[in-house]
Amino acid sequence: MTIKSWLGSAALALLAGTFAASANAQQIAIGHLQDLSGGTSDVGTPYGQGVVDTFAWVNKNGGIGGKQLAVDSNDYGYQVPRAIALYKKWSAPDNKVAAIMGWGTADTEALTGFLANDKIPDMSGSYAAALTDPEGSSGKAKPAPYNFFYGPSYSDALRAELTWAAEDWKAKGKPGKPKFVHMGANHPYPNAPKAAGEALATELGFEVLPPLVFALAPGDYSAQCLSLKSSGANYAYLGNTAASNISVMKAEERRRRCAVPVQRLGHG
Amino acid sequence: MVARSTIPAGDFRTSYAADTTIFPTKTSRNFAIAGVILLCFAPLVFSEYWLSVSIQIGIFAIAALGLNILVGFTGQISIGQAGFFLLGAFTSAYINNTYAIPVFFAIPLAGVITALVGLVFGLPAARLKGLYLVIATLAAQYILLDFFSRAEWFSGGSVPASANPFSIFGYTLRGDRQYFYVVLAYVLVCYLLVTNLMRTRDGRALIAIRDHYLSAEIMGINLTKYRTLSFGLAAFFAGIAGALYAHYQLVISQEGFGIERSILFLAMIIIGGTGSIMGTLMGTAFVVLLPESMEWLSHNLKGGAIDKALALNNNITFLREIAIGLIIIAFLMFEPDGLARRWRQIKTYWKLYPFSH
Repeated sequence: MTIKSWLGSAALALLAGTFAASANAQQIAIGHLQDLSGGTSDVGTPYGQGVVDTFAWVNKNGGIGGKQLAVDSNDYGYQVPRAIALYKKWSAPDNKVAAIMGWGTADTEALTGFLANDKIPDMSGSYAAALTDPEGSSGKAKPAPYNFFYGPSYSDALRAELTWAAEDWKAKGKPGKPKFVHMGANHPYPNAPKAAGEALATELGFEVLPPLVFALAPGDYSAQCLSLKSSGANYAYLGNTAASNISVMKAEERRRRCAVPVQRLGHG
Repeated sequence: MVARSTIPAGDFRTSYAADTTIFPTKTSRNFAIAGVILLCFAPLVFSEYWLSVSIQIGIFAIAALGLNILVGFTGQISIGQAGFFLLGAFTSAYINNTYAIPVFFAIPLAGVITALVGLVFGLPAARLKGLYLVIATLAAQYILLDFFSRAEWFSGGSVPASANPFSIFGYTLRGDRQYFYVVLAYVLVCYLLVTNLMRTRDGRALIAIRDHYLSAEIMGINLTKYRTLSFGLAAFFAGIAGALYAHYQLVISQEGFGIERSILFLAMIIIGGTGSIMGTLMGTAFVVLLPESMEWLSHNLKGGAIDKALALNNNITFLREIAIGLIIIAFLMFEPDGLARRWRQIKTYWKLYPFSH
């Protein structure tokens, strides 16, 4: 037949062939969100591989209680709507997963209500403080009784870094108030510790400068670099993931006039 | 642009009313009604996954319909539809959360507010043509998106906003199975409204502007008024679709609704056939099902022979994006008039069988 009709029937066959994977009763279903192509894919890819490998190792060593784990790994491209669509698939009443390995701050925060309703525990790659309030009693976050992560939250980590920075300033014997600036994208992940950090910074005697915004994707951030220099900051918190933070630092390397004597504090 | 199907022999009309019916024959009308009744049984039969896909198709079909009014019937072009979609979503959540207007009324109200904002953007855009119009609508998209990421009183800033589920008279609809009916009802009403619009005086004016705006202006059609009206209508349907989306997802995030979503809306109507209402629905179904089938394909190819031969490993996810782009290009090359025309050709083939050529 002609190329057109061959292409047409191939397209139709592909469309007709979509179906959702179903889990076996003898297996424990685990949902796995990973970012392989989105804004945090530079750290999301190795993390996702680590999760897959860990569960493969558990399966090889007898599984859990004799049952094998069926991990449904999906790349959601760091987009909240795709994460929610995947969550709907995993929380179908007749086919619910036992747990979810989450990833990003925005989607995990968005899912807290659903997870609590469906009683599915979520271990996220996001350590936002908004996930640490099981009953919502602080008034600053939604209740998140089914969200877990290991390690300090972003806010706690920033507080620790600021405490160090205050002592570092005193140890170096510099006069006056040190200046602190938060740098990151206008996105829940870099924004997570901003309020906590700026509050503690003010308490410790820092002068808090207006935050600088640069995107999650790596790019040319010479403009931000120049703003950093002109603001005269002493300590800058880089809130994005590795690739875009490196772009900022490379911008400083490239433009000599932009070389800033700023101590950088890292995030996640 | 897309011609009506051949009228069977012996079918003649004796009044204007009979000539402008929505369905050309009784059979097609009965098929349409039967189709809708069958769809009413869908939530009992479909799995959760297929229900969510159908709801997505329904919601995006309404937004694509608005864009088709603008692009297919008025001959303008807009790459700001996703911005208005989000505006409808945030507006509906905002008026429901802040003013306690029930969701049932919040959705049409959000559509009206989005239409008003669309009129504001449409007024300067109505005087522009071609590439300048594209840039003006691009401006609308980015202005709206920037507004959402900064206006914390309205959309929560960069944090996703939350919306309440749909409720009628105190009964809250939970789950896809129940929300399917809401979306089905809205799709039916919107499609009937637009089909009706196209056979009225205003609809014919829009088509005249598309076909030859100079002649239309000479005939006395006010170009600015109808172009602005067209923008308003496109925004109205985008707003309704956005509001439905908000109360479906219950979480509204701007991600996935940037310029790429606007272009996807354009792809939906191009693939379906610009200027065809049935084509809008077909095109939307195609574009929504395409990434799902690519996901399925890449899932099945993973670890298989092709994966090893091409050493794709993790890059198989990008195969999906490449495939989607390629298929859209293939459609533009081989089927420029869209799926609607292909469907009409299939129908004509079987009507004239075995004498088709």
